[in-house]
Parts: sequence; C-alpha cells; structure tokens
Amino acid sequence: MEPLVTVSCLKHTYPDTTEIHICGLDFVVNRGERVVILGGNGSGKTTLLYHVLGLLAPDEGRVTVFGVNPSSHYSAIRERIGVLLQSVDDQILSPTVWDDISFSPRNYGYQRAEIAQMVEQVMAELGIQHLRDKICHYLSGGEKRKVALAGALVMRPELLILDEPFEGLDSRSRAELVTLLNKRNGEGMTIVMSTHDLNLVASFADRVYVLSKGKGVVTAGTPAEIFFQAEALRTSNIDPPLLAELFLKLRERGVAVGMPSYVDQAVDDLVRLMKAR
Amino acid sequence: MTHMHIPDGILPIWIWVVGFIIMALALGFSLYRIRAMDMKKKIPLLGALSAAMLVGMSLPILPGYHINLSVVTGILIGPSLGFVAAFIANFILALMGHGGITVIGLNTLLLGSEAVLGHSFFYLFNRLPAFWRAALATMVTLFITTAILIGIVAMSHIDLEMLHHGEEPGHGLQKGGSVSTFAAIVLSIGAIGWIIEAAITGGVVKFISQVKPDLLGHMLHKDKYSGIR
Amino acid sequence: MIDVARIDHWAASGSGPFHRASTFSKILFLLLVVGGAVIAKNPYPLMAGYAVILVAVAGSRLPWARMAVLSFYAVLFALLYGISLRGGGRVYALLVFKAITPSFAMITLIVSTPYPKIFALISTLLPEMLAAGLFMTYRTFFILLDMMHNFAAAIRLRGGFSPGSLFKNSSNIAKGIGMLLVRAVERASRLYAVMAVRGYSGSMAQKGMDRLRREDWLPLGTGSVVLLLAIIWK
Repeated sequence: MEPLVTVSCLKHTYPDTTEIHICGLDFVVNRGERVVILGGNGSGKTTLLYHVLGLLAPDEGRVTVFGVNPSSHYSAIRERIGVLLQSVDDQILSPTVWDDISFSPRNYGYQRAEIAQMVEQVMAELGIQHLRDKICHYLSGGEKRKVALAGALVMRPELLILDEPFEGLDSRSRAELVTLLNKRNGEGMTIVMSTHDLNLVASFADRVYVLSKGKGVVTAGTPAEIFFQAEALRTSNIDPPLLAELFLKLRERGVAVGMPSYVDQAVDDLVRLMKAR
Repeated sequence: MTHMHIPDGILPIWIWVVGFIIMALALGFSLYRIRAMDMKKKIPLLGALSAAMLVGMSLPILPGYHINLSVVTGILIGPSLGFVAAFIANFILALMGHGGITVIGLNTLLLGSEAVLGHSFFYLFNRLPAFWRAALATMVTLFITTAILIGIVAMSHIDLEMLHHGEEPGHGLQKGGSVSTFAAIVLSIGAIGWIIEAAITGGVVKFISQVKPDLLGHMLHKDKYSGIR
Repeated sequence: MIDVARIDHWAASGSGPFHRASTFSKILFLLLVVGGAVIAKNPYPLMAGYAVILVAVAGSRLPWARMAVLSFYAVLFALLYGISLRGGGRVYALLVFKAITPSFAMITLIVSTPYPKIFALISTLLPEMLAAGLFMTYRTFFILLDMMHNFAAAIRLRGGFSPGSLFKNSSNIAKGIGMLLVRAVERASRLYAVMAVRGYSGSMAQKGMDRLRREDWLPLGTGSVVLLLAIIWK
C-alpha cells in the first residue's frame, strides 16, 4: 500500500517553550485508509496534525505528505488535502455560506462555472442547499459544522484531515457524518481523524494510533487490537470502551470469550457461550 | 473618543474632499509600510482589532457615551496597521448609519490619529507602570484629536468664495457663529470622555501586561511572529 | 449603536421591491440622496425628499416606522455642530434634514441589502487588503460581540457589577475588554493557519456587481427625485 503520510519521531518546541515529543512508533497513513488518532488532552494529537498540514515544522524528526515536506512544499500538495478543524468558528472565514464553501477553489484560480458546479455538488451531498446565501454567523452549531465540512470536501481531496470532528454533535449528526465519511472513503479518499470518541472508532477506523503525553505513539493497530490493550489506553488517559472492558474482565475470570468490537459481535459471543453451557 | 458623527451635507464640500484626499494618502502610506507582512497575518489582525473597536463602540459604558479602543489598537498592532483598522472601522460605522459617508475621510483621520498618537505616546512613556502609561497616552492623544476636531469645525466656517472674491457669504448655512461655544461644549463633555477612556484603556493594557505581555512587545505587526499554537 | 443583528435579519428576510432591487442601484440611490443633501440650501426640498423616501419604503413592506426612528439618531450631532453656526429656525431645520434624509437613505440600503452584498460591490473598488479586511471584520464582529456578551454575563453572575461602585465596575469592564482583545488576537493567529491550509491567495469572498433588474427603477427613481428637488427648489 502506498503511504501518503509518514511521521517519524517528531520534536517541536512552541514559542512559550512547551516541548512536544511524538516518538515511539512511526505514524504512517496508507492510501485509502481510515486512520484515527486517539489520545488524552495534551498528548500531541493537534500538534501531529499541524505538522502533517505543514503549519508547524519539527525541530527534529521527519514528516512527509504525498512524498514532500509539507512545511516547505505545502503549496504543491494543498489542493489534494481537505481540513476540518476543531473550532468551526475559526475555520469559517467568509461572510456567507456560498463564499466560504467556494473559498478554496476561488483562491486556487478555478473558473466561475467550475466553482459553481463544485459548490452545488458538495452542498447537495451534505443537504445544505437551503443555506446557500445565509450569513454564517447566524447558523446553528451543526449547520456551521456542515458548512465547514463542505469547505473541506469541495475540492474532492485525496486526503481529508479532521481534528475532533464529532465535538458538539448529537448522535444522529455523528452517525450522518460517519456515513458520509465512509462513503467518501469508498470512493478513494484517505481519512485521518483525531477524536476522543472510542465508540465511533469501531465503526470507522481501519487503523488506530494511540498517543500518550510525553511518550508519543505508544501503540497502533486495528480497533479490535487496540481496545483490548486496556493498560496502554489507560496510561494515555483513555478509558477502554465499555464493551472491551466487560469482555476483558470476563476473560480475566477465565470465561472463554472473544474480543468483539461491535455490540452484534458481543451478542453472538455471549449467545454462543450460553448455548455451549 | 473622537468621532465626527456629523451627518452628510453639513460640512462644506471642500473640507470633506480634502479629508478624503489626505486619508487616501495616509492610507496608501500605511499600506506601503506594511507591504512586507504576510497577508494571511495582516488580514486576521485587521479583522480582530477593527471588530474589537466596533464592539467597544457598542458597549453601553454610560448613557450616550461609548469608548472606541483606538489607542489600544495602535498599541497592539502599531501605527500603520492601526490606521488601516481605523479606516475599516469607520467605513463599517458609516454603513451602520453612524456618521455620514462623506465624513469617512475626516473620521478616519481622527480615529487613525488616535491609533498612531496612542502608539507613539505609549512607547514614549515607557518608564511608567502599564496602567499609567496607557492612561496618560490616551488622555494626551484624545486632547490632541479633540483639538483637531475643533480645528476642522473652525475651518468649515471658512467661506472659500468670500476669501477668493471678497464677497459676502452666500445662502444656506450662515457662517461666523460661535466656534468657541462649540469648542467649550466639546472640550467639557470630551474631558469626561477622556477620563473614562483613559481609565478603561489603562485597565485593559494593565490586564494584557499581566496575562499576555508579549502582545505589548511590538511583536504582532512584525513578520516573525507566527503565534501558531 | 444600531442593532446589527436586527438589521441583518431584515436585510436577509425581506422580499419587497427594495429587497429585489440590485445592490448597485441601491448604492446609487444613496449617493443621489447624499448629493441632494450636500447641494440643498433650504430645508424644504429635503423635507419633501424625506417624505418621498418614506412613501417608497412604506410601499416596499420595509419596517418604515422603526427605520424613521433610527434616522433621527443623526439629529443630535447635527444640532451640536449647529451651535457653531449663526442662524434661526430655518438654519436648524436645514441642518436636521441634511442629517436625517441621507441617514434614512443609508438605513434603507442596509435594511434591504445584506452587508456581504454591499461589501462585495464596494470591494471591487478597493485594494484586496482593504476588501479582505472589510469581510474579515464583519465576520469577526459577531464572534467578538458574542464573546463580550458572555464575559459580561459571567462578570455579572460572579458579582462583578454593583450599582454605584464605579471603580469596581470600570475595573471589571476593563478586564472583560482586555480578555476580549487577548482572545481576538489569539484567534487571529489561528486564522493565519486556517487561511494557509485553505489556500488563501487573494480572495476572501465573491466580489462584483449583481445584474441590473426591473425593480431598480424604485431606488433609482426615488434617489433621482430627491436630487432633482434639491437642484430645482432653491
């Protein structure tokens, strides 16, 4: 598989002298993967994403995105990358919805007709055509997030980076977002996301990286592999999913159960166990 | 604060035309001075401080009086960017029906002067503690710009035709009234305003010096400050 | 200060003839009325002009009564300037109508046209730095206003405002404003990153003129009448 993003042992010092070390395992994102970064507050998730976006340059270590150093060659790759930041009020720059969604193609020099088609397409995909001429400030939190996401997807990027995209969303909106992201992934888009929400990881991620404050990448693997590494998760200030914790405790007590990631899997496991008795 | 809420059509044409010309020159000079700064840094800073000035003007400090944070703007982002911010704030104020569009030039010169003078006096009084440094800079600045305002009103009484031809003033607004009465009212009301604005500006700068002193270190409008966190 | 949120709501939600007219025609309307106010030498043409605008506005399903009240905000400052002039009631009447007639025209423009459309047209005449600054200021204004309201609420809830305690109140207001400025500057530095990743290279929003429309006769006609009155009614 072709790696789109590789990060090796990053060290960065902020102007206020805070140091961030992200070493341990290498962070690699292959084309077509859905990668989730888990970590507690201050573990370096946003710092890692900012290095991938070329907004920060490491004092030590190496970052490559699409084969180039993003901090020095971002303009060569920026049209291939879409970004959704944690704070939508920071991401939305323009006064109206149309202006904001068309921001990137307009600045990349696309023609008017092409811009119109791209914007209409992404608005239809997200169901926000009715917001076209609205002033962004007066939108609800969920509407703003959809507008910000539309702005990230309008260029049909090969790589989409999302920083805590589920913050402030209700369960239905989260499910809709996951469906949309999975659909785009099915069309070939590679996704990198940071989140606290373990319950969504199971239904979404191909690969999970766990960051710990001061230790960098402590473990990586599929959701099933990660969820049952309770100690690694706890040292990273992450509580394992309830399902994983339940089944771990059952295994500790000698019950022969598997390692389910989904509720359906867990039900199958328990039913099989009960029938066997 | 010194903002001419004078609506359109009241001042003689020549005075606001000259105001626009001088404003355009000053704006051009300011834009030239900050030409090296990355647009992606300039624009958000401009937006932040222009918007902060507008928010300041919307705060009901006292009935009928509002502050405008022009001196603080000059202190934080420097005289050139501060002047541009003053233009943007005035433009939007005019579009909110706050003062006429023909006096945008004069108002920008007044508000922009507050940013420029406020910046200069703040760094001149550098031996004083933060509160007094900012408060004194504000008092001196507002006195000067109020005097400029009175000067503009006095100049508006100059009938150019009469000067040129030696004739009696024409119809319309009769000149030769009491500029001194106007000055007395503006200075007395203004003095109360200067004290309020000085006190609040002093408090604001003192707060910033305690919470984020690097903002007062002349860094924001220098290109090397990235501030990405 | 005018309630910008209310103005925005009126501008975005109306459907009368003034709303449907192009932004260009409405700005021309404003300039025609301002021109009339500048050249008028007696109050009567401007009184008539005010009445003409009032009729046009009322007929366009705009909130004319509230708009008229807002236009009177300009009177106080006109009268303050009038102190420096010599002359009787006619002079003051002229001052008042020189103030409120163009003010009413401006309010008509902003109540029937969303600010982004006004900026989009004006931006075609400004350098990018100023145009982008306008859009960015407009966007940031609401965010900071919300922030200030939240600070004020927090100060009040925590006992920071007391009737009669001028020193304490001023001190707490100053801290609130100080926090607002710190947050505003921090936000500006985050926006630098956002503009970089979103590829900013000179275009904050769409600029340009919307097409002329059939409904443009209303603002252009109204403005022309006001200017003509000022010219011919000496």
